[in-house]
Amino acid sequence: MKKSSVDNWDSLEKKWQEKLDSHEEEVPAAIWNQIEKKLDEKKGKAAPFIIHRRQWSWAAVLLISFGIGWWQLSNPDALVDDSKIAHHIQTEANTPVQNLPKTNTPEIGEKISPTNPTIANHTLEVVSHTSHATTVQEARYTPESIPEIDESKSNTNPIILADNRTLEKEKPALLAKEESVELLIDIQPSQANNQEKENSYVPEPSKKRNSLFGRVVKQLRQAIDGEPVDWQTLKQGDPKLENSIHQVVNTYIKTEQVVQRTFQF
Amino acid sequence: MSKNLLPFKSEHELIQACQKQDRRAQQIVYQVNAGKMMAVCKRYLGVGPDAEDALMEGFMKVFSKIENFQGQGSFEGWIRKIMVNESLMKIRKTSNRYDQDINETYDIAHPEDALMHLGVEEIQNLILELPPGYRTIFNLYAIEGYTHVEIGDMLQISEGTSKSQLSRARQILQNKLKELQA
Repeated sequence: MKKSSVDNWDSLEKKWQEKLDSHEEEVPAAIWNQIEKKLDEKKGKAAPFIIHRRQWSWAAVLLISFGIGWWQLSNPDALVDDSKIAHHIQTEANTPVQNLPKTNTPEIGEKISPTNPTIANHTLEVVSHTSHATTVQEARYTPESIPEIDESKSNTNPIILADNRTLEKEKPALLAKEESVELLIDIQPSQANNQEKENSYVPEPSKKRNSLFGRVVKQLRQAIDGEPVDWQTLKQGDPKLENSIHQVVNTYIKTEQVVQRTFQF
Repeated sequence: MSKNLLPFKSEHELIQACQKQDRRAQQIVYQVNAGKMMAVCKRYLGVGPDAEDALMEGFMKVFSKIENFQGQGSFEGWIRKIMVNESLMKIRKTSNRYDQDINETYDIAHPEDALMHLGVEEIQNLILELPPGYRTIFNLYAIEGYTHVEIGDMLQISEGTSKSQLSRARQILQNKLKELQA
């Protein structure tokens, strides 16, 4: 009996449902105007600055991180990447010798002044030279240009000639006639074989990345863990930062406060 | 949605325009559905500013959430659901009317034949005369077609409470009719 009663109610409600589904009520015209007004307000609010407070704090953290990154990159003392050094060596090795900057190799026939004080007043003329890892040059001096040799200097720095005779011992002979003197001058060490040069390069041990950003993150972690933080340690070993440390630390403290407030650490 | 959708060729096109926040499309959606949705809101909230507020807030929600409409089911049905939810929120704000947790179902008699032949206005008035708690459950079950489990989830009440309140609502409707006939 009860079941049939419920069934009857169900069929009745179905009938009512059909009737009410298509039923419409009159709507006041002002409602659309209000909806339109609200939609306009919403459109205005949807401007670029709709970012919420949490998003702002994230944006600030990102901005500061990028700022520090940029500062580190623009700093000449910033980390030197090993790969950059390797690339530089590779480029140099591929550069043809003729493109290398011209050294002060004396031309044949050019007169040069010796650096040795004992023959400082001698005029040496380049007569030939050959190129290799070291360049052998033959220089000739004119007898009339030979001044008196300072005995004290000659004792300390005697000139050794190519055939192992000292200039002091041969002084009378030199004065008597013109003679060729061979000098060994290492003038172009930079023209050493590129292969040798490459082999001679010993890469620097990789620099430990103890960047400012890393230190700041460490300090922030300490602060989050509730450990005491000494912000002054951030400027250690960084003279540039010592001048602007207060600004940087202030910014970080403000950011930290915003982050803490946002996430309620 | 059999009303004039011009200048849009189809409901799909109208929805796409609404998703782009086209004001003309929004106005057409409102014009086509406002009457029906007003009837829905009134059935829950009665005649007055609450129903109008629910309608307005409901349409605001429709326009802001229209991007979530995947095209599964009818667009009108989707709008109706929003309106029902909006009405329920209004009822919830004003008072808690679902605290009666009775698992007792009333043994009610067959509905009177007179109830079968009631007009729309009369049905609407009869439903509005129900106390708000019974009215809500009767509307959700009998008119919107939700199950007792769904109603329990929506109103945060047990399935038994929903059933007992429906039985009570039916009993009240029966008595109302008797009063009218007498």
